[in-house]
Amino acid sequence: MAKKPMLTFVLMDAPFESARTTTAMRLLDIAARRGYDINVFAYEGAVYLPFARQTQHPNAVHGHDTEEENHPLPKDWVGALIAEAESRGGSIDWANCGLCVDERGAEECVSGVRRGTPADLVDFAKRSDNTLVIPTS
Amino acid sequence: MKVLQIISTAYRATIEEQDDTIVWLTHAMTGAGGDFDVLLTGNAVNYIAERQDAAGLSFGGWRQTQPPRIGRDIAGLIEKNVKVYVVDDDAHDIGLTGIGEISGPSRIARAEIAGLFESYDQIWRW
Amino acid sequence: MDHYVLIASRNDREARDANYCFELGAKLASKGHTVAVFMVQNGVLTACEDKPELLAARDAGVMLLADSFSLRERGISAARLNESVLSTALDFVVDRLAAGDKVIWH
Repeated sequence: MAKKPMLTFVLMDAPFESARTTTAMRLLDIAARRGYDINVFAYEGAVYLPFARQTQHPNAVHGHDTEEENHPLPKDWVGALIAEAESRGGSIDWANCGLCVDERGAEECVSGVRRGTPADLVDFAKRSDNTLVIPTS
Repeated sequence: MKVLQIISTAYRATIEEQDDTIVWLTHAMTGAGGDFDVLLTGNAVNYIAERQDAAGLSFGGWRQTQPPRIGRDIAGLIEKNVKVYVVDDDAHDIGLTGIGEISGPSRIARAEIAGLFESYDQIWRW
Repeated sequence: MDHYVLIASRNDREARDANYCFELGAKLASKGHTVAVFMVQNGVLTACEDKPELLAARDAGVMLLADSFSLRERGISAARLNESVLSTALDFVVDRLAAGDKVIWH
């Protein structure tokens, strides 16, 4: 039986700032649907991706109330991806860099996300088949 | 597993963070047992300049007491046996010709980067 | 021989060094490695032009791919795409990561 791949992704961008976030989530989705074991090291602004206090809002320019606008919230993406991976026999170990969390006040995050350190990234990378860093520029 | 860290962005939030966050991360990961070398390219080649000085910032009554010391941090990586390469073409473009630079980094021509990659299991570009 | 995927996420209107991907890819290919440049996000706009770096990479044997979603997002039809570039799903990147290629994001 072929060994299940393990991939690590390093993310840096805060939500709502860059197309890189969407591409990162698309990569995670592909890997999750395949049932891979996935590690995510969220560094710097990316620790806000799973921030629990993201809230939807209406959009007067679109003429939408909150429900109609159904604004995407990356925290929901993170939760959905964790659930998807598990439903397919895989996993997502999402570690927010702890110092980055502290300085940003981003402690409150969705379920399934934990606090981590650079040692986690070293461990992730050593155990993974591959690591992709998505830089912030 | 040996990793080459490519750092090309420079001075991004370095005042708020009091570090270049990737240079800092390389220090931390090396301490945690990782095997990393660094390639400075683009604007980041300026990190080898000797007299970088961001001290003295204040906003109202707030004063920064621990400004970033990026040159020191690059030298610190070299002391930890992390090889630091600098793209010579980029350095030359911004007037870094060997004088007024920290000692220890190795110059490498842009054309040699592809060959450098062959020595590493993974390449992480920041 | 190593296998490389260079992810080109920007074009040279937003980053001066964006086309370095193609130059690096050509260099790696000339050393005998297999190389794909995978354009994504605004990087796919390079696929609409006859940039010398892109053409040189093609001539060196670099595979030129553009993310199909990024192309559709920008309304880029096949008619606008450089004939050397293949529209490809992002799954390619995950495939190559899982295979252990050296995958580098630009």
